[in-house]
Amino acid sequence: MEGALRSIRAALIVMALVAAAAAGAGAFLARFAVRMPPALAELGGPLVLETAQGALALADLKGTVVLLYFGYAHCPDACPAALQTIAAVLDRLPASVRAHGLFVSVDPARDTPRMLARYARFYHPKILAGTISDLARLKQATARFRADFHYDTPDGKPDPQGDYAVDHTSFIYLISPQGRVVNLFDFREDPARIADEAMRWWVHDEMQGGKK
Amino acid sequence: MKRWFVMLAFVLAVQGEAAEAPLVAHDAWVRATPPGVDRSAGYLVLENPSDAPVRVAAAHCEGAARTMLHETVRLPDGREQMRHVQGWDVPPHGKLVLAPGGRHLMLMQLARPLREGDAITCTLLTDRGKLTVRFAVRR
Repeated sequence: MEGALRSIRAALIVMALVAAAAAGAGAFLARFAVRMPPALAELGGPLVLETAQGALALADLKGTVVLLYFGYAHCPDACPAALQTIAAVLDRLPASVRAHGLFVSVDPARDTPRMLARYARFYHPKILAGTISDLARLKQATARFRADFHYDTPDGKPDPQGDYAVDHTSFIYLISPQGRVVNLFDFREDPARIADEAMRWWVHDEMQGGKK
Repeated sequence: MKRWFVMLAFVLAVQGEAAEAPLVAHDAWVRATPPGVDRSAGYLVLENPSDAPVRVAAAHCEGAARTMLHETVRLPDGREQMRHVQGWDVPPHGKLVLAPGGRHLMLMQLARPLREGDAITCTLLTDRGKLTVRFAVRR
């Protein structure tokens, strides 16, 4: 009788332990759950840039988390803020997470690939930079990301010697190691939140074997 | 015509020398300039302990050919636009915040790069006198 009670109690303890473990695992897995906003499903596409090191395609960065931003070097407020945010995200990610920033200039008249390389390195060694010098192709590429820009010049055209601002969308695109745009952040976002999200996508894509 | 300008300049100079704007500035900083870029943005918090509003109408920063009052605003289509503004009011017993992604001083055509750890002086001109502020250069 006493033996039966003891075994029932033992069984109950085991069940409780299993339940607790399951709950713990659930909570653990929830930390790494990812959800892509459905509106982003169509976002992104081929992006081939002219950089100081030659042509660089976004697809070349598969297997790494990419924080993509469209801006211009003569931008004094929004772009440095965004690049500082990206640099802070890169610094927060563990060394085992392969990640890059990618700055795309929408002002190729003034931003040459060489100058962009030095500009981006100033913010973080892991931030790459490039542009597309042909304006029609630049518009095509940026449109795939629904990134928009407009030159504040009298005729709306860029000018290599000009002193003008460029209105532009200012989002940070999170691109998963599998190469999909999986989230979009305001450039004023807390780097810790972006780093958490980048981490989750890294783990998710690693588990799916999307490493390379 | 020319005499008017001289008189105006004189009046402004006398006012500027005499009055110190009743504002308290803190957390003033400008961004270090990346290579190849001759412009920067300045930020600070201005507090107005007085009983009347103070209007910031212009600024001049050491080393910059021009300093403008700017605001980055989001347009309905999602673009961020930098707008030149005529001035900002610091409300009585209130404050005005200049911070990244919003209100800022735009420093144009800098004679020298701004390096982290340095500091520059800017003068803010208001309707109640001027205010000289040291801005730390930060990244």
